[in-house]
Amino acid sequence: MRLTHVLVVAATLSLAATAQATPMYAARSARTCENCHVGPNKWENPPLADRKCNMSCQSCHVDPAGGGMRNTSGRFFGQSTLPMIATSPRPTDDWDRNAPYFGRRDRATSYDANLPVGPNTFAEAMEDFEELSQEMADGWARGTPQGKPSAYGLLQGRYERLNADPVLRVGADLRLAYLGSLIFPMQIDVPVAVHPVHHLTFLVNTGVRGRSGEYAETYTKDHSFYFREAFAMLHEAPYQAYIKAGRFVPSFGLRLDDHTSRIRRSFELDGALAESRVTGVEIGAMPNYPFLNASWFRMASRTRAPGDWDITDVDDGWGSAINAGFRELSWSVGASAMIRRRSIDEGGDTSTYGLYGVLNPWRNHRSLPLTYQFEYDTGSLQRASGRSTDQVAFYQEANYVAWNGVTLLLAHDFSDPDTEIIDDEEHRLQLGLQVSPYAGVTLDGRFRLLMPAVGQTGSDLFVQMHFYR
Amino acid sequence: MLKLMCRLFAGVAVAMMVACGSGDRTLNEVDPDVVAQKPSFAQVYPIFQRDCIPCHTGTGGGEEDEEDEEDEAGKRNRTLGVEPGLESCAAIINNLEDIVEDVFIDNNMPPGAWPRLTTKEKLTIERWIDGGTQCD
Repeated sequence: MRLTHVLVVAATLSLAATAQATPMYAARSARTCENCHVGPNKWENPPLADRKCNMSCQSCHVDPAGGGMRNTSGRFFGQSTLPMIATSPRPTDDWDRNAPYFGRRDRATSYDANLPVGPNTFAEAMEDFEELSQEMADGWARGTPQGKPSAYGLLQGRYERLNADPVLRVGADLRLAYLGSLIFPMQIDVPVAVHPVHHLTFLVNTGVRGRSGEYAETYTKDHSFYFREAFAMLHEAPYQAYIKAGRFVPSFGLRLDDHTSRIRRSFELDGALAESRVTGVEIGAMPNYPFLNASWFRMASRTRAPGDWDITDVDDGWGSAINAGFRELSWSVGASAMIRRRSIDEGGDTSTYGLYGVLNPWRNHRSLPLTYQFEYDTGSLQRASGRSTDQVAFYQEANYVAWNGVTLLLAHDFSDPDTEIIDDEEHRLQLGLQVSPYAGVTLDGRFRLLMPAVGQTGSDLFVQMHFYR
Repeated sequence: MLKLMCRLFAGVAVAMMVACGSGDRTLNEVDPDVVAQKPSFAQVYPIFQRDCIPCHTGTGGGEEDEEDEEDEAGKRNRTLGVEPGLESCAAIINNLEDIVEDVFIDNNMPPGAWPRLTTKEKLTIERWIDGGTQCD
């Protein structure tokens, strides 16, 4: 079989990156407060139980376990820090990091002084709310929830013109893949969060995996729209504690945006697949700096996608996951465990254990904009015969932020899907360039090299265009 | 503390780069019951559907097929440089020699950096071939 330009058609047609950010963003963001909101007017650390700023996923995402729809801090980060041209004020630390010929084109940053905008205290914010509300210009978030907010609730004005704490937030996420002469959608997500009263949020994320016409005709699995996430959540409790119930992906390890990584795909954590979604309950807390997420759930069998809209569509069997660790400002470590118990016909029992960590020397060394993360997973699974075996996978990635909005990436995957079997392991290397020219737009190009234990080494060039709000 | 973490993470990175697999036997030797001794085409076809047919659409192309007899999908595949179509049992059998070479000898399909077929998938195809490539 001859193969020419279309090196990754098969791969990419079955790819569908999920609307997740990356733990790398969180790891980088501890350099300065202004990544997530305009500089504080006066700053005193709130009591630990009330502190919202930490390195955990809930700082930027509606879902405290990470991924999907961003909250106001996440949106501010996407406008101020991530792109080459900022549409919210650029953090002072990054003023001298603009790419050549792009320097100081963003009109949102004054570049002559760091002028904070937000109110000093929550009480002051409430007094100024009318005035601040008039200044808001946020077409993707509306209203203010009823009821009494938590102490040090989200301050209007702290996120420039974004609505800090909306009743209704609508998002959008579109990923396109480019292959030779083909451009086609990989993923479309439309998340909606409703926050009618303080401490209560409903989130529904409706999404579809990408496909081309050929793929739809030949692949038997359903790729229509479905609820990727659908849950109700009680949150904004002391120590950022929460409880949510509904459909979600269990919290385990690093929530990578590259779902094809073996640390996701081999352990039923591939965020692109409906089969990875479970229905259950998750609790968690994130006091500075420890964090804990724990879930109990039921799921469809390993080879069956659950119902598109029926989040109660599960088979026999159950699972449970725990994810805990410590996220300091320049490093973090964590450990995860997950078990699934079900019959052989439904995929068999699995037990998975993971260790992961992130290092961000950039926080301490301004001339070293480097971030590194790794995850090592191992565990047992049952083959279709009923016999148990073990599998191993790990992932490591380094990012170098050359300029604002321009990042070089080097990643390495390894997997041994069955430790009893000879010659089934693979290494994969990726060399990539990520460019975010403007808020809500990221171009990601990667040269990927697959080195199987036997046979030929394979390579491809994969380009992804990501648009989000 | 940061220095300690830097050293620790550097050690992890190096250890991962030099990792290698374990195991010294084939799946057929370790767990012969994991796949039916004589798989049906119904058990084989989903493997082709997932890993091959997204590119190898239609039934035309390949050594056994004249270009002027190709179906529309086959012509498109030829334009894209992906041939033959493998969307039927007959098309798979017609191109079995190439399939064996790519999947079992060169281990280069699916292409690029896409994960290759699993040992279980390969064993299923191997036993189907050994069983006489029945299409029923």
